[in-house]
Amino acid sequence: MIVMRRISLSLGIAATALMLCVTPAHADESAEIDKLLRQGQTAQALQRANQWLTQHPKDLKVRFRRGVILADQGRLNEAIVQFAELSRDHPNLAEARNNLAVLYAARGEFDKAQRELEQAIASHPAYATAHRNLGELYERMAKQAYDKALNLNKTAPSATENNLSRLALMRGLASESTSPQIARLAAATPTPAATPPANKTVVTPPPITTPSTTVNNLAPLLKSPPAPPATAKTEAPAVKAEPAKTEPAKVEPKPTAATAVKPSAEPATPPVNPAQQAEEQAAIAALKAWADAWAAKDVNRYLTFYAPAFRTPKGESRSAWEASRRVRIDKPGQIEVEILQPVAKTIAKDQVEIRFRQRYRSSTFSANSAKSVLMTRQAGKWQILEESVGR
Amino acid sequence: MLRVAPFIRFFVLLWIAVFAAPVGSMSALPMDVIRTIREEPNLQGEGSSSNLEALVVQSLKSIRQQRFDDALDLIDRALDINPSFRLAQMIKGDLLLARARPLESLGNVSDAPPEAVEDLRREAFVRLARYEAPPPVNLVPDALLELSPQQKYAVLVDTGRSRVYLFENRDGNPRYISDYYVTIGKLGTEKQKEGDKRTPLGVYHVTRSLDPDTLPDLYGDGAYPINYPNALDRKFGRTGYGIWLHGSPSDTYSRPPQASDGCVVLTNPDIVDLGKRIQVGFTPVVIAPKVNWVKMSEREILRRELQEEIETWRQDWESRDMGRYLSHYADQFWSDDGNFSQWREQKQRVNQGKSWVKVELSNLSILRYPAAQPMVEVSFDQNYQSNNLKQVIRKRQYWVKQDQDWKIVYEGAG
Repeated sequence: MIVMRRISLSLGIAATALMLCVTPAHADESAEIDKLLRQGQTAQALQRANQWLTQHPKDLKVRFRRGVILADQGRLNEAIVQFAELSRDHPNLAEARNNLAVLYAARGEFDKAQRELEQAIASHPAYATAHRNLGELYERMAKQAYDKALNLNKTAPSATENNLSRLALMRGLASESTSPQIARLAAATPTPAATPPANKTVVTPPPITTPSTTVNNLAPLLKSPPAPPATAKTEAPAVKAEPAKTEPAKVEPKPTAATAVKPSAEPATPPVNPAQQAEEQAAIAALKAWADAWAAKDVNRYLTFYAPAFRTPKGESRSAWEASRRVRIDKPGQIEVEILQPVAKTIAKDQVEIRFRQRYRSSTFSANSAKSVLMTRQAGKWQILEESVGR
Repeated sequence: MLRVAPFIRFFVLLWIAVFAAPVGSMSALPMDVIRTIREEPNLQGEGSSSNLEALVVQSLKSIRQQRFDDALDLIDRALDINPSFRLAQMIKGDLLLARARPLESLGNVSDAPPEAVEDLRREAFVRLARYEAPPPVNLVPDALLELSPQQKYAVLVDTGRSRVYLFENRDGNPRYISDYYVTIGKLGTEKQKEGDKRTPLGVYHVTRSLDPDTLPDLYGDGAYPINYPNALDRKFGRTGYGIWLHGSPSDTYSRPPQASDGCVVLTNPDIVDLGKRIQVGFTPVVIAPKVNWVKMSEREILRRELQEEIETWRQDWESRDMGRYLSHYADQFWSDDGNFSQWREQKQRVNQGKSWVKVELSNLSILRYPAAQPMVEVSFDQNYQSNNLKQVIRKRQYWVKQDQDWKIVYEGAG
């Protein structure tokens, strides 16, 4: 697992000296394991640790090593179990909590990670690695919140890896370190910035458009000459006395009407490779088949157009979402669904985004709305990964 | 709490900008009124939108008081209720990031479009302004002068404060029920023509209720078209159609204050809540740039004045004295069929065949029109009887006050 390999690189931070009293009962054994690790013999190191622990199940250092090895091998769940047991047996073992936090974070369980780090810091307030990790974690959580706030990064999982790689996994116990480093590390932690200049970035939000005081001003209507209004020659340009153009009461939402009617060819696109173009055409064909299945009210066929990893609109479970679609689609009455002006764009390998207008018509309602889907190809079949309204 | 205080201090400065901005229209209220305003939102059940908003507002207040752990806890509670509340997500992001490093701005994400961040900040601002200056308890909006017995509720949109108020009809008088955050047109108000992304200002009513299941996701859990363009809009040559009150897309709890193509957009819980009260064909929707809150007594004066004017008009019609009857109409009067002289000729011609006329008005509604001049929309059921015609219709009129006199400028079927 990529994430874990990157974490393992941060061995350099290894030793902060905490005032932990660990009795090194079998110092040699953990040293032997370390030696195997240095030689790159991870499997053997794990085997040796496992063997040792059958005889000495309480050996703190070897248990800790075993957790680190499991983490290195990407066996997150087992590593978590190992460090969780250590934390339970040694509630004040800050390194174990730190590592537990790193592993939780790798699984995306930020709340749990946060709890562990805060406990580590509570028991060892000067624990620099935990402080740093907590900072990284907050940044990661903030990023997640911003993404949700601003609807960003729907398709960019890479950010996760980058950030997590900066969470440091402790390689060993501080008590084993020969050179206490508290002072140095504490000094190295970023110094909080001084209070920033007060006048920076303090912007008053521009007022929401306040309409003029001439809202619905009837003066032009009222002040016109009382004589028979032959050819209304009033000065006000806003008031067209005659044309009062009544529009038929159409029910369609008016939005986008302007942009809707733009059948002109797409602007000249940069040279594309024909294979990619063929892929995009295939994705559009799949989208049209999806619309046909919908119009035919063939719910089962309709649902086959959604990828297993489809992101349900409200984050509900797949089955809950499917159930709600069944109810909605399976209503009596004829409908038409048409895909208009699809424009496909290859986003990544086997991923195509299609923007289009969806014309929906039933006996009671019709709508023409802008939509976009993210399609993904799996086993040669194009399926919808994400569906959104608007642009 | 860790070594976060210095970072957070800057963060507070950033959010203070939201607090410091002038609240605006409420400043005109006398102090005694401000003291009797509604202190707290009516906290209904879990998940109710006012509850959600109250959590975010209280979180912002906690930030102001530098209680950051409380602020984060409140935001987390709001997000537990609805994770798609984007403003809450941004505040959460800032609260978390402030623990890690100094903030340079609100919404500290490098790839954030500045407009999107600005939109959320505006939303924070208007939502907070609602709690800084809630609807006054002992005042009523002068827009709702008289509600007919059929109008169980009235809807009043305050575009300047991004708020919609729901009133219940209590014996013709409005009684405040609740208020909700709303989104209006991207380019503001005073709609003039199709596609201008503006929300119309005027007196309207709900014409239909659309089944959300047949609508695109954009419209959320409810949609209620209103009768834009009305007679006045048409007179002004305004175009466009499809102005609705509607909900929000499923992945969005609330949209920025100005984001629609002209519709009035509510959150889904709110449109559902409001929708329960809407009566198609009856519920008035007044969209105004500002709500003018007045004392009951003050409203009563204007209401009496208008009731008397309308009653005089009715009596003068029954009198068959064309001079008296036509004196109620402005020279610039228009109807759907023509101008004042055409109206006058037609009325005079008809009047010649009458030996008696009886007019009864019922279900009277008087709504103040957002306009530069004092103007009201009057509507009623008109039971007309004469020697040669009997007719019951719903009528709508616009009355404008000119030189101390109220005159009818428009009359048509309602």
